[in-house]
Amino acid sequence: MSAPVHLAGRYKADAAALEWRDWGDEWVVYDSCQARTHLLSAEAGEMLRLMIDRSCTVDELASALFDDAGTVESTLTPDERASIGRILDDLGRLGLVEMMPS
Amino acid sequence: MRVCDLAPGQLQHLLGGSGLRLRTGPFVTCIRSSLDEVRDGVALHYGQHPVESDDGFADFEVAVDRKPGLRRWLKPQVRFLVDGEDIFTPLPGDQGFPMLEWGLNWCVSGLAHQYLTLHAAVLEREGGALILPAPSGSGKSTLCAGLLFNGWRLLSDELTLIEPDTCRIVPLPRPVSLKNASIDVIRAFAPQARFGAVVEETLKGRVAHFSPPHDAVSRADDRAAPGWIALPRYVAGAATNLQPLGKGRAMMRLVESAFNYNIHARRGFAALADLVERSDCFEFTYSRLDEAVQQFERLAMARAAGGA
Repeated sequence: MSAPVHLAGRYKADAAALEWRDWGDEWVVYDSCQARTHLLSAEAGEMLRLMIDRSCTVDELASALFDDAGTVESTLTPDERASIGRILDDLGRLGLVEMMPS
Repeated sequence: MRVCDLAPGQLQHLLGGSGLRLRTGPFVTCIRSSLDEVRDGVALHYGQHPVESDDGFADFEVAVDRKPGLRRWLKPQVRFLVDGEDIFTPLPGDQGFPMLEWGLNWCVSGLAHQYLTLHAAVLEREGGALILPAPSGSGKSTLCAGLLFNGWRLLSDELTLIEPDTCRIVPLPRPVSLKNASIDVIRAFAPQARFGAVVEETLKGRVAHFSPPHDAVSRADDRAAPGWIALPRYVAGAATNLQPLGKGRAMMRLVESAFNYNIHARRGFAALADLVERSDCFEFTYSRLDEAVQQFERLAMARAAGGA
């Protein structure tokens, strides 16, 4: 099992290893490195998709997911930030994302 | 030529000699056996199936015979051999035909990786396949039996074969296996069902097979497109209840039900995802078979009317 991720740093998914289907509320992801299939929520799926295109910080993920006006710093509640952290943590535990070396 | 067209004594001659090359769906199996119950079971349940020529290719070479040695006389056992290898624990002597059926299931699920294979019953109506993935004891075969006697075409009661590149379902019409109380349920529900001998005290309890309908065998080359996926669950006393199921959760159940998903890797994922995408997905709970059959009749009618 991968170590838990933290809220600092940048995270990225291995685009070459993943296949996915987006069915609205439910996403299914196939990780060819581990030959495992995962059921994800829409939020987790969207976050994963963002990290396939580029490495992201928690704030960048929050901005993309929650804030259309780019004012995430002022509008994101601590609970929302923690929620993103938990999802990121789950994706890390599943081995779907990893922290980029600084 | 079909099994029922063989001259008297020829079936026994083939089974006891060079082997009966039996076609079931896309497979040819060379079967050898000196057991009367295997011969009788094949004659009863595979009468409409094609027999291939003696010198043709066989996908599987199997035999069901008595285990040799003193046991042969004291406490007879039967064994199943694949390519001459004795790979299963022997079973009591009266279980030759069920052992043949279980062994054939093993051959398909364990060796035929040109298909993505699910542990699921599958039937066809209006060109659409209804896939019923479920573990043993969930009422899958009972529901399958009820449907095939009410206008649905049997593709398989146990193994759903998916062509990975086309997502079409390949028929594998073979005898339908029922266990325990289901045997009497179907005897009452469909008195026309042609049952073979009931075998007691198998690993799965009381077991009996009934013959696949003739049209299922004669249309064994007619593949079906994805139509519906329903996860059946028999619950004593429960009301009939068909609920939409999210495609993600349906997909995960198919992954769990697949015998060889990991062998197909990305291609397997794509095939199952396509199958789910093109199917209406449900969870289905039932206790009354007549109501269950009516429920699926309504689905078929909606598809026929273009509303599925």
